[in-house]
Amino acid sequence: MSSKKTSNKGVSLVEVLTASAIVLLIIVVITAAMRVGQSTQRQTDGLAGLSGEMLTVSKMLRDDLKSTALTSIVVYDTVPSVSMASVGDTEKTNRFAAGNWKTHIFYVLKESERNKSRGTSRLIRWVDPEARSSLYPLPSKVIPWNISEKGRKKVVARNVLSKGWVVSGKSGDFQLRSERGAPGGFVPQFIRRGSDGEREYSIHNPGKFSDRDEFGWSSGNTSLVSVQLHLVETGARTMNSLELELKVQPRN
Amino acid sequence: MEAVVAVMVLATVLLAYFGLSQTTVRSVGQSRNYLLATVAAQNAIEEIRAHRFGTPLIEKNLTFEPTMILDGRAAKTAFHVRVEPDREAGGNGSLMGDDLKDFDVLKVAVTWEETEPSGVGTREQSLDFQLVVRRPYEL
Repeated sequence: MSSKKTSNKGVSLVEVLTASAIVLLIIVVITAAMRVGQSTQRQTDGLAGLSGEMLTVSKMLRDDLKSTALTSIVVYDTVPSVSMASVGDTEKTNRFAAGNWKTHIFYVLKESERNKSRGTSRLIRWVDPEARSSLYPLPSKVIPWNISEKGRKKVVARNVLSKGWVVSGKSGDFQLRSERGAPGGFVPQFIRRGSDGEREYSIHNPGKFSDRDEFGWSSGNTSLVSVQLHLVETGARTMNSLELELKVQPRN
Repeated sequence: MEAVVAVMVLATVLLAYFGLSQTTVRSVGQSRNYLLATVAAQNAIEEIRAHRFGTPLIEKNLTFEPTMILDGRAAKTAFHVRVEPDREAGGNGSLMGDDLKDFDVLKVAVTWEETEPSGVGTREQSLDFQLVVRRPYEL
C-alpha cells in the first residue's frame, strides 16, 4: 500500500506580491538595458553612415580641387555649385610637361522631387562631355546645374542639407526646418584677406584680380578654397548630422 | 536564499551589460574624434601649403570645430592645431620667418579633449605628425 502525501500549503498574498514586484523590477531593468543598447547601436550606425559619406565626399572634392587651378574655379550660390578645369585621370600632362587640361568637373547640390519636403539633397559630380582640351586651365562657361545627359554623372552624397533648410533645436530634440536664405549643406567659397587683414569668405575668385585692378590674390590672399559640408540623416526616431569645413589648396 | 542568489546573478549580468554599453558609447566618441582629427590634420596641411613661406603663421586659422549630432545628441569638439619647428629633426623656423633657410621641418600636433575611458574626468588626446616644407622657387 502506498500513501500519497499532498501539501495543503498555498501561496500567501505577500509571496505573490513579492514575486510580482521582483518580476516588474526585472522587466524595468531589462527594458532600460535594451534602450541603452538600442541607443548605442543607433549612435554607432549614425557615425558609420555619416563618416562613410563624409570620407567619400572629402576624398573626391580634395582630389579634384588639388589637381585643378585656382583661376579655373567658379562658385555659384543661386544653386550651390562649383565648376573647375580638370586634367582627368590619364595623361595629366602634355608633351611639354604642362597640365593637359581636357575637361571640366562640376559639383552641384540637387534637390530631388522625392526629397523636396525632407530638407535633404544629393551632391552630384559630373564631367563635361563636350569640353575641349586647352593649354590653359580656363573657367567653364557651362552652368553646373544644367547637367548634360551625356555627362558622366555620379551621386557623391545622398544626405546633404538642402539650400533653404537648417538644423534647429536643442540636444535630444533636433529637427530640420526650412529657413529663407539658409545656404544649405554645400557651400564652396574662397578664403580671402579683407582690408583689415582678417580673413573673409567670398564666392569671388581672388585669382582673377591683380594688384592694380582690385585687392586680390597677389595682395596677400591665401589660395585656399573652403567647402562647408553639412550631412544629415533623418530616421523615424533619430537624427544624425555632421557639419564641417574642408580646406583645399588648388594648384596656382 | 535562492531569490537572493538569482537577484545577484541578474544584477551582475545587467551591470556588465550597462558597462559594455557605456564602453561602446565612449569608443564611438573616441573613433569619431580620431576621424575628425584626421580631417583637421588634412586642413592644417593645406593651410601650411598655402602659407606664404617666411611669414608668421596664425594658429587661430587652424582651429577646427565640427558639429556632430548622433541619435539626437549634439557633440561639439574643438580641435586645436599647434605648428612648431621640429628642431631635433633639423627644423629651423624659416617657415614662420625665424630663419632664412629654404626649408623647414615642422612638428604638427592636433589636440582635443575627450572623456576618460573610465567615464570620470577628461583627458587631452593628440595626433602628431612631422611635415617637411620648402621655400617655393621664385620664377
